Amino acid sequence: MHAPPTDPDCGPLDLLVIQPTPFCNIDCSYCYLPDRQSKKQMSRDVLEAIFERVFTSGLVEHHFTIVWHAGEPCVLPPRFYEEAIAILARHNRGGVHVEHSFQTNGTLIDADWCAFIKANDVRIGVSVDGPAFLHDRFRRTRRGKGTHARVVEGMELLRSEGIPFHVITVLTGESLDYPDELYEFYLQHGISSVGFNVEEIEGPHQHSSLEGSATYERVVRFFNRFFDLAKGESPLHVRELEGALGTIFGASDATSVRSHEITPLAIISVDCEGRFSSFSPELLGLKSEQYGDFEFGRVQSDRFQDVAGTDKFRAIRADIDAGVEKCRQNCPYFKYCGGGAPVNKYFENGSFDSTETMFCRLSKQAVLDVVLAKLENGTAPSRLPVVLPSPN
Amino acid sequence: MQLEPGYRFCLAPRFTSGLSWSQRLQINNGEARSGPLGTANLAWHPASESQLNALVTGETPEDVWRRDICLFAIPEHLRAKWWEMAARQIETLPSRLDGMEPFARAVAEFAQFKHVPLPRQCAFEVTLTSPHRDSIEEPSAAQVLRQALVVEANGRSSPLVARINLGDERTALLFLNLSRSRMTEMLNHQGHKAADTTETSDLVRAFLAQFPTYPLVRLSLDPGEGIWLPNSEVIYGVDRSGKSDLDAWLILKGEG
Repeated sequence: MHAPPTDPDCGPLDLLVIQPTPFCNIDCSYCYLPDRQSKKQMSRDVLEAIFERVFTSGLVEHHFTIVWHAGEPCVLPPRFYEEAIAILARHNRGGVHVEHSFQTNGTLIDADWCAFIKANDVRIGVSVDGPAFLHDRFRRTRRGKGTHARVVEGMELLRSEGIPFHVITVLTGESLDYPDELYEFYLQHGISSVGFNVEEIEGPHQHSSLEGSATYERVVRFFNRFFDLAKGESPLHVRELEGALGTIFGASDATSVRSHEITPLAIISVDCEGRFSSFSPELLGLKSEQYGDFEFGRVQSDRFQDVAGTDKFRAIRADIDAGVEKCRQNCPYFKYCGGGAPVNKYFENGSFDSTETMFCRLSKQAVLDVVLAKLENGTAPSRLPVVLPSPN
Repeated sequence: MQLEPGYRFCLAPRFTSGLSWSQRLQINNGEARSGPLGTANLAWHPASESQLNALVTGETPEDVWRRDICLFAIPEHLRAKWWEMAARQIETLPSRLDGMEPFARAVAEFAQFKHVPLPRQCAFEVTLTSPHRDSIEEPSAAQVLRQALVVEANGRSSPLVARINLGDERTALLFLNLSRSRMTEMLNHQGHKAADTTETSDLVRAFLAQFPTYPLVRLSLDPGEGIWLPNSEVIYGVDRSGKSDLDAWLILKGEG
């Protein structure tokens, strides 16, 4: 039974983020998850409800990805996910292709996990911040010990089992000085695909080592250097580089890049107790003076397609839309970006109805400036960012 | 004899080190032992805490490059690039090496990213020494007392600003941490006539003869690691004792 969404502007579903548990076995100092010490676990009933709601929502128009995250997914055993996949299969009567993706800290990868990953064709992302001297500054256990050695052990096991994986590295103020060391680390560990997340200001993580007016220049220098390395004799896939190239060649004045995070119900995030949210996945679980929280309903009692009509959803959506409109009017990068990430606007600027953030400057504008300059003349950008044509 | 205040070591800004200073620095107080190949070889012991305090600074302001002996490193992919290039031309080494220019440019780009204060014009040279044969690097160095210490900073050629261990094996440099003027002052204080010499090697020879137990400092360098010299008066030499592999150095000199 497929019910059409109440609002035709909602969806389709691209990304379903499921939090099997908020618990994380490590305690990264830049983590935005407020309940990472909680050992709650998603029940079978909640899993049933999620997939029943998803496949009857009318939001599934094509394949989508499930990311098991927002807590360390590997603290639950593989059998939890085997059961979840079986439940999904029962509800997925149309046989829609669903890709499973785990974003893991890599410390718990063992032979059982490798067998599960291979059997279920799971996409693996490992969070690792490069060599130990960078990684262990932030990614530590609750007792303050570095986790690097265990992550490397996990990655080595994945490699020895022939399991492809990508990595996500958080760029901090410290790591901006070490592109060569990062590149070397990736090469040494057989990593061929990397994404860089800037250290963001979100929820309880209220400050970033990247704050400050000088950081833009440093980020440009970092990406400029890293892209030269990545395109050299031992190439690396860099998500930011390839993403920027894609948007540059794909963008035109008539068609702006669609940002999933501003499209209602294109992303749905569900926590371990069935509460769900949309827009930026990080919003789920965070508190807000203005809205209370960003929860739109519970899968046990609410249908995804119905929440778009609620006052809270409409208020948040209106503010997000107003912020996107400001971006469209004011930001020369809009057609390459599509309006930014709502969670960053809210927690940096205090409102969804706002424009540029540190996240925009460092992870969008700086990268685009580097890639455009390289495309234009093969050199680094000057001290001033490249001026992009204004949108029509 | 105690270390006198003099040149200090530091980790260059924006670089990292796999070894601690206590693992990296050793001291010789004049003791010698018989070494391999019939040459004198020095006995080394770990630097004490007070010696480390005297020799190492943790402060690394941007002008540290002109003040202290800075430890830095080139990344492995650059070191490997040189060896790949050398391996392709093994027949013509050491007289000729094609491809040095792009290699040097790659090192310079890396150094510029790290804000290393390269001279406006910088010459890049590589020296190779067989572990069991004499050095084939330029014959400018003069042997001085304690045999392993070779005075590199003779001021006759372009000032050497850095040297980097290009080899595959840990290697070492020996240092006398005193400036020329401080050595002269100490010799003068003893009424030593050699203090008037203009030759650095003569001055060092005279100094070590007068102060035979003055501590020498041995700095270990892993592959890819190097030192940046704050000026051309630092007294140091290459220690090839105990090496089993080719001793290879990338040397950077200021040109104008």
